[in-house]
Amino acid sequence: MEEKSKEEILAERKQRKAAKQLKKKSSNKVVNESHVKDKIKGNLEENLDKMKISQCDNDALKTSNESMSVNPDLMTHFLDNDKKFNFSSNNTSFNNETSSNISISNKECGSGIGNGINTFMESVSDNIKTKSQLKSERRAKQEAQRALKTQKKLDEKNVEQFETSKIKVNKLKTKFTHKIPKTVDVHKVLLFSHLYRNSSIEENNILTNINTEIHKAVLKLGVQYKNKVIIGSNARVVALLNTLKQVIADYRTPTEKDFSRGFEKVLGDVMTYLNNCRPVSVSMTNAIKFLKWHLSQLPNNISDREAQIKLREAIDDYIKEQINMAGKAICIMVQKKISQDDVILTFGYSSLIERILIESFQVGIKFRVIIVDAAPLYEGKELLRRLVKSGLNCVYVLLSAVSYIMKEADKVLLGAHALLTNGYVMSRAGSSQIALIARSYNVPVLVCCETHKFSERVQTDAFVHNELGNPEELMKADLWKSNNNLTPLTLMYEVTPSNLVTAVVTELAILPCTSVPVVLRVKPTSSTLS
Amino acid sequence: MEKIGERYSLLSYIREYFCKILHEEKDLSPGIAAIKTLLYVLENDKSETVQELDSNFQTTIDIMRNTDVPVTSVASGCELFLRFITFAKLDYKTFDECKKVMFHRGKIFMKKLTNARGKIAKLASTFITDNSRILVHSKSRLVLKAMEHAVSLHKHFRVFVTYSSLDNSGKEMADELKNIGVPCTVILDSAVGYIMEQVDMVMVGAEGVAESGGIINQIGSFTMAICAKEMKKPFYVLTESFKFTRLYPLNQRDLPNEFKYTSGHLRKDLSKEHPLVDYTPPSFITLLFTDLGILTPSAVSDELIKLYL
Amino acid sequence: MPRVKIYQFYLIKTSILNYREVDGSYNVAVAVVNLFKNLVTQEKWNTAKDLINLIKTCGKLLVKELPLQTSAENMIRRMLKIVRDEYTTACHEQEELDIQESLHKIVTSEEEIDDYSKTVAELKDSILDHISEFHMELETSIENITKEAIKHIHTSEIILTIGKSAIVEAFLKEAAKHRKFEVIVCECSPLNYGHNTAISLSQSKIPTTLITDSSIFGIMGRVHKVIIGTHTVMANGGLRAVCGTHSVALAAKYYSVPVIVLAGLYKLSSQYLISHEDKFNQFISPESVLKYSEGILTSLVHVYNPTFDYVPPELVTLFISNAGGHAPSYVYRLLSEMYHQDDNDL
Repeated sequence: MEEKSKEEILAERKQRKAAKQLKKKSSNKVVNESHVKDKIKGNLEENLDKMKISQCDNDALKTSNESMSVNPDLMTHFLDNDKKFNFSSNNTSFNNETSSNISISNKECGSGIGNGINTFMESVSDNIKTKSQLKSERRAKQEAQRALKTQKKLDEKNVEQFETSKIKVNKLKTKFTHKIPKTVDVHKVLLFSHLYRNSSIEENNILTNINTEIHKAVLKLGVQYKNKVIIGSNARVVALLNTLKQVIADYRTPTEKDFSRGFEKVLGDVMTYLNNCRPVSVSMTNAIKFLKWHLSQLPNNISDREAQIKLREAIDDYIKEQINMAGKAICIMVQKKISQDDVILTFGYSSLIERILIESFQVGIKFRVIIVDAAPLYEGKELLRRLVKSGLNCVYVLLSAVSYIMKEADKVLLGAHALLTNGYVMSRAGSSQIALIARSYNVPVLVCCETHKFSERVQTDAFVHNELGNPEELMKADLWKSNNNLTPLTLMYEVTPSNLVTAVVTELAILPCTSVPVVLRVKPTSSTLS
Repeated sequence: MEKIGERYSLLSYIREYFCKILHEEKDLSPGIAAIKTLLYVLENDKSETVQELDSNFQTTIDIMRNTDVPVTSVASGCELFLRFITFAKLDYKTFDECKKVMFHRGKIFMKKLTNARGKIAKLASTFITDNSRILVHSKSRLVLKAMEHAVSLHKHFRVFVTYSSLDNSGKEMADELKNIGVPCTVILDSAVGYIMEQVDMVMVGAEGVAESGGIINQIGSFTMAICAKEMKKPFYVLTESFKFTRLYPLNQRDLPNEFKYTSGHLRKDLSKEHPLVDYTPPSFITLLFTDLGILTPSAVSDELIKLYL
Repeated sequence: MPRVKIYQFYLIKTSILNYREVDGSYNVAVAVVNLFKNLVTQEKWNTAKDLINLIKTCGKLLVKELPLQTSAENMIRRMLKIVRDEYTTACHEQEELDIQESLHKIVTSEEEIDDYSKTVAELKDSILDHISEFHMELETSIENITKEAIKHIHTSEIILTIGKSAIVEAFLKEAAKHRKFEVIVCECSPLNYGHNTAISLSQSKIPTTLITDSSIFGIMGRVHKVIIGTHTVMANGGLRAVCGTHSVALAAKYYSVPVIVLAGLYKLSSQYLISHEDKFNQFISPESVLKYSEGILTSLVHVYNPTFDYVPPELVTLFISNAGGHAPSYVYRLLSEMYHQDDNDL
């Protein structure tokens, strides 16, 4: 009963949201139209209006499907266009983000209060809208001025782009507000341009996904990932698996499908959504592969209940074996490598390293810990807090001081994001520097990593596949946003070449980095399945 | 005729004199002993022309090189002495005057050379920090002196000495260190790689310093230098400047045989003999402590260029 | 010595000057030179020996006040060398003698009996002239280094630098007048000197990327040259530079990226690294590393905030000074030309 009422609430909320969107869109209409004109001919507008109405319908998807069947060609055009529109309308997505944020915090409250909060939410978001409207009006003015200024200085290549934006800006000035994506492009480092994720596209996707059936727990998880509430590849995978358990419990197989097919689709949607929130970690990919394998093993005629129980068990086993037991095994192995009166240097915060250090300390080994920390996340502080609480003797320095402190260290323990098949270690940015300096002081470097983080990917530099941090955390926005020549950049990960790492400690054994493919071969349970 | 006889009597005494010095003053480097011998020749020589004197020196040098003493520092010492003579010759007209001046300057020359050790010890001892562990190869008088100085500055440190199985001189070194109160462990020559990660620095002496800035020293030094570089430990060389030689070895094989073997061995089948010294290229050397100051290997060539070109 | 009291006044004046600033070494050098110029003019001395002793006494006090500003110490040695040089040339009248200890000298065996005690006419004037000349050299040093810029930076290069250095900024800006290139600046936390550099460079229309210290290794693979400043050039060609430089240099070495160090000759020191604690490093308040507001945590944890890194000479490709470009292995020579060996211990 409760679940049903929840679903009802959800539907209701969706309806409201759609209505809100419509309201906004119609107020945005003028702008919208100009966009549309640029791209598509007149008769499409009609369709657009139709679509908006259809969006405000309770089951938006159905109608859109219908219209798709009516005029598939036009429809794709429209969708394209719609995307572009949303892409440029940052305000809308901003509001929606906050509202989804709030709504997620609501989820924890009982469903009864849900309604009340919903109305509250609306008023809040209305409020935000007016404020942000003002703000964005101001911004648009600034932007217009800037665009004019920069336009003169830009080379021929960009002139064309800016002419269009100029037109836009002029229109905006007179009519309505919104952000010009072009100015964002200035602050992209060319070498990393493939890594920039356009925030508005991303949020647009999240939006459309909200219209499809994404479980509320997943929504919450996504926001937690996005806001870096849950970080660290172990924490992320555990959170994902626990969330999926809920999703599985709430999943009802549609009548015409069988369980595994239907759920695989849900799983796919979940992962697309989560990937939009923050690129998924290797540990998550491996866990999903594992889950999909189990799905494929389910018999076709299995009942929902049975399937749910099986999957739940599989997930529980995965968490227990791949993460908890593996961690325990690694702890025991590293303990043997920590001698009395050692000085252990570690970097950032890794849940596994924390466990190793605390357990080794509790076993009675006396040692000191040097915690090295660095931007962007400064996670080391958390480790420091926890270790100090457990009574360990700690030293805390920043990455720049590591050359000074390294001569005191006897061993370096590093966590990892993933181990790649070519033997390179993918880890938080800064790890390679630690390893380099350790090598220059002749200090052994141990990377601790459970085998569920082993990946079949290969990578040799930090450029191809990486994540960028929030540039505003590095430098205040007003110092660089208006300066086209200055761009702050933060890398989240990097790959450490295997020759800088003395050994990898896994639950199987202490291995050289180069044995990753061997482990992948002999361990068929996780990543080789699909 | 009498003159020739005299000359022969002087020259025949040279070997005895040279060996006597080395025997009496155990602390003396063969290089210094060679220079002393040459000065002795200068003092007692009765020749009347520069050419004659030169040939006497040459004979003396040949004789000394043919004793069973390690020849590296003898060679460089003699070379330096001849250079000294050449400079002295330039300034004076008559041979007698010239000889007198030579002798006078020779004294100062000698004094400077003997003062060198104290200077080097002082320089090197600043690099010995409290509670450091130092690896030493075989016996080096300079290293010993530097450590003595460090002890006098109340520094506490620990030393590992290789046994140096060539002549077991490591044992002697260890005894001497124990006498001055430095805790000391004798290790096998083959344990250098093992011990390296425990030490903070390596200090060795040298028998000769090549033009490249590399050193020629008792066999095993090169191995030690390679280990030290691999483990990122500083490799310090303590050496007097008279050991600088105009020699540029390309590798071990390129070292002259007379440096690698004693004259006695040279007459035997070399493939069955152990070489006495090896060559450590400059890239393995962190710093050289000399009486000219603390030098990087690249500065050695500079000094030699100034002197000989 | 009541006379020394007067100089304590000077000393304090100098020590206040930019003491905390890492890149203030130029100002310190200029201030010290001026101080000693005054000393030479105002004090009474008869022989070069007197003057040398006077400079040494004051120098010792000054060094005590500014233990880590090596440029002060360097300038004192330079002053002493100037006095010695002027004295020797005045005495010998012939071509300039090499007064350094050398193998050559041992062999020629001149007896060094000269103790700078002869009275020499017009010594004061010639010394003052020499000091003024040197002062000029000091003032033009930045200009002379920046002149080299276009010899080292070519079009569309990516240059990486760290922290804040006036000379590096000037160098890059000079190059930017002629070439188009990009600069990556490491922020150098916790004090974030890099931020100022990045802002300043970008205002000169140089496309600048500011990165966190943790991104250094990741980005190094695409960097063409590392151009940095330093606080001191050590006697072996190593550097005493702002914290984080060792990481940069190691990463550069790993990717075989050349490391170019810009340093005026006044930064050349006769010091060797013996240990970090001994006159090498400076530890500043760890507040910027771990806020005091963390409360109890700060009292339970040791937090270090060192100022300098030591960079060994094998990680440096080239020095550019006001006398041109040098390999780190040549530093010994510059050193022996600039300072007298007897002054190594003040």
